[in-house]
Amino acid sequence: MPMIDPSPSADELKSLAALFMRVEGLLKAYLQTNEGKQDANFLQLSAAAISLNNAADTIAVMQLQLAVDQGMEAVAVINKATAELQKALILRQKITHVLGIVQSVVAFGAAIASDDVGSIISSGRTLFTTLTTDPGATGATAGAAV
Amino acid sequence: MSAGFRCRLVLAAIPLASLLAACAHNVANIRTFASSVQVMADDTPDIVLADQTSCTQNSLLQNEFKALEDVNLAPLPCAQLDAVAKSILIETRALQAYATVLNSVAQDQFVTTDDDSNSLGASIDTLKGTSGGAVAAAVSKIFSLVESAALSGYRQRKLTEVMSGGNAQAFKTIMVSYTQLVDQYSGALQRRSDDIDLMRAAMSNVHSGHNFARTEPLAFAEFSLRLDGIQADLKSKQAALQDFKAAVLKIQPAFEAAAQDLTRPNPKEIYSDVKAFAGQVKDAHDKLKKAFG
Repeated sequence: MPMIDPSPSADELKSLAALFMRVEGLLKAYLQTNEGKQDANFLQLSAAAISLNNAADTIAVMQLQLAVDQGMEAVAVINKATAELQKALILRQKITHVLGIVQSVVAFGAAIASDDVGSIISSGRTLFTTLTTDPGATGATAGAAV
Repeated sequence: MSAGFRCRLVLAAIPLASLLAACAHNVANIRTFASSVQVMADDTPDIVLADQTSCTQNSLLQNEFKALEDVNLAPLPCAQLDAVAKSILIETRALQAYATVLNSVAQDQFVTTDDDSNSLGASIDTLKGTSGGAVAAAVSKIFSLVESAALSGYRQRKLTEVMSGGNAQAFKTIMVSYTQLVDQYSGALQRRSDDIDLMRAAMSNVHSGHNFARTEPLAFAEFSLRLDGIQADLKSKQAALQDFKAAVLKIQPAFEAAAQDLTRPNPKEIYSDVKAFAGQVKDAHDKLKKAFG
């Protein structure tokens, strides 16, 4: 015996909402005619039209729920991407620091080769400062809301 | 300094010129795109809250109508909406964080050098023509440029990772929720406006139970004024939402255009899709502030 899937698809929900809206539109248009205004069931028909709108609302929220359910799976992927970028910001600090050390070492070496005492002292001081600086001191904080 | 040493330095520096030229990237489109996504994501919680509040207020209004006219109505899905709103806010927070960190990584400050030299050629020339202490300064400049190139290349790889493949698809999927949210909310606002027309007509119809327009003219006039106010509010919210929806619809082409910064280095312009998205987000933001307070 075939199983009936009670969960409507997004397209089925869309068709159902469109049907409700169409019927509500027709009902509203009828109630605005002279014939409609004289209808003994005017109040009940008005209530029915409002109920159709409310039912269309329920369907719209169900459609939203379906989209959000899929979106929640995507959130995990986006959060991972965000974490990767945060890591990139932190790594940037480290790369800057390491390259800074290399730069200072080479400049110090070049200064020694040049026999210029002033340059040797200056680049030696820079090298010392670079080596003793904490690379995480100015670490990135962006995107901390994940 | 010996001529040999200087020559070796110059020879070592020349290949760096091509490396630096290849790695110099400007990601202005990504920065513009990310800033606009941040604004859009910041606006979303207000929309979600207004959607929920509107449902509750309309439910109360319908209860009033039911009591006055003694009719039954299908319930509004406020509880279901509250449940789904929580998930949308989770998506929004993820989007905010993604856009914020994307913007940070795309900032030029990401690629920071230790001095203000900006020309490798000039640095190499310094090496060629000088001796003594100036050599140390020139070497320092060259390394600063190498550092800049290394960071720029690293940044490009990271941005490419988070703006392509599964990540691009995930971004697209979240945007489907946003489109659905706007459709649901603007549809609900339109239906509430229709409901108000129906309620007003029912309360003044000769065949309805009470015909309040005749039996309670003052109370009906007051109620009618209240309904006018609600309808005006619905209309301004609908207009702002249409602008927001237009921004949501422009986000995907803008994402794809911004990602071209990674495949076509050094664009000389902000691409039209990115510009259109940024402009639309700004318009929507201004209108949302006015309509949603």
